[in-house]
Amino acid sequence: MAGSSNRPGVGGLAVERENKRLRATNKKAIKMIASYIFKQKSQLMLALFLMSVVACANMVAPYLAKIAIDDHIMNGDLNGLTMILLLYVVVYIVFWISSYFGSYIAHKVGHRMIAEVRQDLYDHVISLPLSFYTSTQTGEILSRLTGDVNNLSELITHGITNLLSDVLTIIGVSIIMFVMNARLAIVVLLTVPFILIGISYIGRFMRKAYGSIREVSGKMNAKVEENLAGIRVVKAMGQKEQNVDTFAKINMETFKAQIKASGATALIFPFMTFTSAISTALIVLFGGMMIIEGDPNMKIGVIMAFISYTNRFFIPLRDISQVYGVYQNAAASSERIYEYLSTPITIKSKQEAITLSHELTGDIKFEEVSFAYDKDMIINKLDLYLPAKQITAVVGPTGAGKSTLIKLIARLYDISEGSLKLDNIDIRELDIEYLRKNIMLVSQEVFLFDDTIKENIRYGKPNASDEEVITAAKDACMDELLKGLPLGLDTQVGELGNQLSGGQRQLIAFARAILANRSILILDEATSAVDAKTEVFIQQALTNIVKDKTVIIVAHRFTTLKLADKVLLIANGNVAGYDTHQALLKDNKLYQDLFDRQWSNDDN
Amino acid sequence: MNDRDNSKVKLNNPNKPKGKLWPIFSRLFKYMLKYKRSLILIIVGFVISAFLSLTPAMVVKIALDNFLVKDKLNYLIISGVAILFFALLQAIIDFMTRYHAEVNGQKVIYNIRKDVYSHLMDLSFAYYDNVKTGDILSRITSDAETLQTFLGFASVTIVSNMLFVLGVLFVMLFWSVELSILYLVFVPFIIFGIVRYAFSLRPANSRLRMILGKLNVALQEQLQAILTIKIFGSEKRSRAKATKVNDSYMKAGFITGKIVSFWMPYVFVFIGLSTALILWYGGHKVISGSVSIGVLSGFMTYMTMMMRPVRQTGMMINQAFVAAAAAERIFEVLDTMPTIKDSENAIPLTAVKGKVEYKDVYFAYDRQRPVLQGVSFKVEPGQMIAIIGPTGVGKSTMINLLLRFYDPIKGDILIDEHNIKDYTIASLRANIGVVLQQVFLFNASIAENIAFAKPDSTIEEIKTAAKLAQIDDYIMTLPDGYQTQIGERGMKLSGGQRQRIAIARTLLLDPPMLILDEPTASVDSITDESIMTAIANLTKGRTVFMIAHRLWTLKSADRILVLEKGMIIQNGTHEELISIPGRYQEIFTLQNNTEMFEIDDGKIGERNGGF
Repeated sequence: MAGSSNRPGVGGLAVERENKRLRATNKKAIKMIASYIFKQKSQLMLALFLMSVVACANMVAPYLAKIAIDDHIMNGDLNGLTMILLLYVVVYIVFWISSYFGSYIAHKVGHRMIAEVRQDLYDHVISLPLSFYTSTQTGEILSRLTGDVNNLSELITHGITNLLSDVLTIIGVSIIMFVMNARLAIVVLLTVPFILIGISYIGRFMRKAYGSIREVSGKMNAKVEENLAGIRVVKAMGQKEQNVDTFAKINMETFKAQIKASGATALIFPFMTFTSAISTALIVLFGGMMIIEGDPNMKIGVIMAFISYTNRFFIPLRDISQVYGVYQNAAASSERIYEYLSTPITIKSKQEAITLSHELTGDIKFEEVSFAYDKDMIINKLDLYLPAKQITAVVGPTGAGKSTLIKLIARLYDISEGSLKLDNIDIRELDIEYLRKNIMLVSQEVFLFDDTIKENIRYGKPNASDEEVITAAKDACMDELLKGLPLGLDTQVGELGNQLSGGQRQLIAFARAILANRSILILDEATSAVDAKTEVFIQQALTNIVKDKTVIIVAHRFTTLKLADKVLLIANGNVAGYDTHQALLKDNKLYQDLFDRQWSNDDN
Repeated sequence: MNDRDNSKVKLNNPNKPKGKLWPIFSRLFKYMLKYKRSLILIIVGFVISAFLSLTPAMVVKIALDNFLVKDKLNYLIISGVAILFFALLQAIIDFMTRYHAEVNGQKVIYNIRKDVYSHLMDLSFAYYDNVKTGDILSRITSDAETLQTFLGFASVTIVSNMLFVLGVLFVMLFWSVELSILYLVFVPFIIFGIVRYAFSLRPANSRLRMILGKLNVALQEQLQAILTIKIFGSEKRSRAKATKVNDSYMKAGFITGKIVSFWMPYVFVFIGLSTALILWYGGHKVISGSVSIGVLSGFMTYMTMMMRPVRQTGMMINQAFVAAAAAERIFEVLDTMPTIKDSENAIPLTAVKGKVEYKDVYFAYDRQRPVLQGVSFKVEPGQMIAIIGPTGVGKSTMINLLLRFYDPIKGDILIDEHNIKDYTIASLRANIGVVLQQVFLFNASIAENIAFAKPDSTIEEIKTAAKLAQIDDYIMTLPDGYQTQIGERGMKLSGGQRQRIAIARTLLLDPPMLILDEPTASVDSITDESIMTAIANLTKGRTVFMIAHRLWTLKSADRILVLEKGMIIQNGTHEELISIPGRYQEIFTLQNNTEMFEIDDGKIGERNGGF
């Protein structure tokens, strides 16, 4: 039940359409899963064969007992009885061996399959363009990679191998019963439909009950998580009582939902024992009557065998009634997996993509470039030339498209129209790995891996020596930061946690970029406040980093403007000014406005 | 606390109780003892139902021995009906008992959850500094659920199975001591199998879970780093990392599979062999006439009936271990004592004037790193104090002490000439309003968020507060106005809007003292005048402590404390400090040079995902 997917309900016709669409994806999804299973078909066949042996061994034992009672014990045949004992031992040895190997191989097949699915899914997902990540939550991707993939293993271990041995057992037991005594077999088998109905009824009730439990416990999770996250506010405002009351209410709701499920949970075992007792009663009653009647096919051993067989009947019956659930779960999961696998990788290298033997010089040209995001035109027919080694500061009002512009250069998004050229080659012609090895983008939000500071810097160049890393850290003005850490560069980032300020994280990102040393550097300056000391280091590092590169900085600080050769003013998705700071300040009304706001503020 | 920390999976072995099992279970038992009558009923119910579940085989035996052999149809019918009757009776009693046990288990969990939650609210900040929200969350939710499954189902099943097996043994001994011995000979093997299964599955399963946790953490980190990965073109490296954990998970899965595959059939084999031996030896006895055919059949029937309970018990014992680990984690929370609580003679803080004094205050989060080292200053009622200093110098710590989020390790803090430890914590905090850098809004309506500290406020009061906080105009532009639901953690609002809601919240509370911890830091634009107006309205007539980087806030302060290395190194007004050489002058010149060029609030960035 864990990890099953709950699609939100859709009403009426929409349901019909949704179902149709699902059936179509369902087929493809199942095909996909089948292809993974098929890869291990010899192992799977072996497992299936062994499990069939298990089923047979399981069926032989009661029959041996029957022969022992009717043919040997009742006739006083001691030698025959010993033979039976030996046969018994052989059967159980076979049972043990084949059961062990059968089940172990099935587990292995299952685990190997999900490892493959997970790897392929991960490889695909990691190659998907950034737009996929902006519209999908990490948690959602993660749940497909773990929960949904793990669900598939159930399909192998419980769905396929058990199903076969269950079906074999049920068929085999029915046949043996018919052979032993057809009339009694019919009587016993008549109870099967009732058992199935009972089990599936309880099952359905439980699923429903657990559905509502999941719902309320989801609510509870959310509430508790929120309150724990806001614990400081709760405490600061002294709102403990109110909070405890709210929780008590949700806690009570959960309790009530649980009680509803209790009935079903408590019913399963009594139901199973009772149905098995009904069968026993029927066997004793009808079997006994047949003996009284003098039926030649009815002896005491047969009665015993029937009782024993019906007991072996129930577990497979129950399992089979649950197989549908396993299948449904796996089908839903495989659909969710398939959905990602079938999402096309839109940003990738062309077949004959260009990889130059040298680094790009860093000449950037926009020719009538347009870009739309969600139907919003963000960049509109933009023409622009940024010569190599120029430092360009990009400024402009909120939403003008500055961030988008720099992302287009790194080909994190593909332009909708026009052409974007690096060294006079359209970036879509360039091999994407080559392209990214030539561009460095330092974003506002610095992501640090849960590793040492050293390894985080080294991320820019995995084969860099320790000396190179130390030099890069120095160039990024990290000395002051490192001085405060006893372990220096070997400090684990995770242990620092919130102690690392935004500014300090930025410095680490700079060191990373310095080490990577790409010909084009794109920088999205952080807007958030940084304390004055760190600010100075950032500025110093910035001057170190921009040397001899094509640099584009989305600027928020005045000092950055002073650093730039040219300032690019972006408004409404197009160029509204592109010149030196002084020239723009003299001639450009929009630039003056932007600038005045800054200074007027500083004067007060 | 940031999100990345919250969601990180705890890597400690989640299935293994650290301490001894017995104290954990006895403590759980104490919770159950609250429902003594139910507990007795449950035990009686299980004894009866275990006894009744023995009856079908007994009737079969009697039927075979007496009625069948002696050809009496009526007795046959009676025995059929008897089986049905007893079985039905057993089913009903069993159902009722199990239902009762389930409900009881849930009551216990309900109480435990209530206790844990209420206890969590009492725990000090020091506790929250050292734990992850996700971890506490899992204790109150999934650990409690695990425990409930155990209390309501697994424990009950173990008990009823044991009763059944004991009952079988009793009847068998009564029927034939010799044959029972054949069964008893195998019992140690069977028990060994069950125990070995449970004990070897436990570490294997917990290893599997631990690796799954690692897999989660590793994949999550890579996914969160997607932008970095793409920028560096390091997809291959990322893949290799994923492959490594993925493979180790697969291998751990193999080991679990091996254990399950080996021990599950093992138990069956021994039951089977014991059955065979009974059949063989019993057969001899039947032939020699010392044992009836009915007794032999009875034995055979019981052996078949034992398969399910025996197999189940192994699984349930495994469950018991998992539950013990879960219970231990829950009790761990309950056993953590709040370090900060009301002193015995605490009095409520009322009619506050707002005079504050720090007297030689020392504080450290851990011994190696002292944070405050002898901070002393006085604040007169109605004064506004600005605190500045580099990141990590202890500015926030200093004001946290005033709220008694932590207690100083040395020195005293006085409000209106009395030590704050003499006041009740609730009244102390009620008199100090707090607006933090990161505004936390609850997933509720705007009105509810503003009225958070005073839930019984009228809408007029809320509106007045919102007006003073300069947020009323914006709220009125929303279609649902004050009833607009704020998305998860206030994501739909900008930093400035959230900040103003927090200000309204504090205005409504109308506290005589106020703490503002970098209230403009997460606001993108200092040109946002409404924030300044809101803050000005808020600080009017109160004793205010404000941590700030921005110039204009420093200028409006009555006094500025410059903090460095855990001490106050400068103390004066802006005019005073700017005119004398010192740290303040240095900082001020630095800041003037690097004042932000504020024109962007990264709105596009937000939509495009953390850029």
